[in-house]
Amino acid sequence: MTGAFVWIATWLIMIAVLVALAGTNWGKTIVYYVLWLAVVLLVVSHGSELASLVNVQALQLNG
Amino acid sequence: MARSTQMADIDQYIADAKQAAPAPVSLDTSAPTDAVNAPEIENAKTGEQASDATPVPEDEEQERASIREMRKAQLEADRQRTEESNAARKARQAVEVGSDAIATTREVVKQNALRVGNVVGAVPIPGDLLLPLSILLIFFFALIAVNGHTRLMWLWLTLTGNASLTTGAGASFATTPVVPTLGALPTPSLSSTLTPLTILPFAGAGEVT
Repeated sequence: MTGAFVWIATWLIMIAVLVALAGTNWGKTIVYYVLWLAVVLLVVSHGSELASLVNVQALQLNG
Repeated sequence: MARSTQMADIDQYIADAKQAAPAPVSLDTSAPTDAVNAPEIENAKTGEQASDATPVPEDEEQERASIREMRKAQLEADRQRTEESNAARKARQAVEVGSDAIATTREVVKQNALRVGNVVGAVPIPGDLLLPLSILLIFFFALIAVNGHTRLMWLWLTLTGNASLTTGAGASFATTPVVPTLGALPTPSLSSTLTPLTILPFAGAGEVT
């Protein structure tokens, strides 16, 4: 229970901070490029999985 | 007309002044010309008393000494007051300088922050926030697999009853969730002893036309 509470609270705080920043003129730019940075980090950290999506040999039928 | 009135006022004023003027001082020629019991005169250049000064009574000497003490004390008080005022002025100036420096620094920081904010705010953000956010959500929910399935797939499996979260929220997501399996299906097996096939009689079996 504590783990889930910390997890959800962390995400809520992070979202609230990002929304508050996005409300300002200068913060909107920062949030924009932070989101792009998150996209890049996600792609890099899951590169092998994403590469399998475009790998024809990785496709297989079940059963 | 007005000029004559003014001249009349001036004449009246002069006449009144003459009447109000005090009587001339009459000199007493019988008075002695030498100073009697006058304070001794110091030599302006040397500060020494005149040699021909008459002896001063003791009480007057004490009075003069007390006056000198009072003057000295007054000078000392003035000096202390001046020193104190100087110290207070210096302290006040130091405080003012400090507060001015703080205000100046604050203003400079504010101006620089404003300028940096304007520069950062002027950076273009093509596609607005929606573009990276949507891409991020697509990656997160539809492309990145967790425990063999994407999150959308897990959602679908959960909604259709084919998957469920482990009891106790907060369980590590790294652990494999319990996926209820369907009841064990009977495996098709062939009996070890095959029953001999019986040849069914056909209606026209053996008939040759």
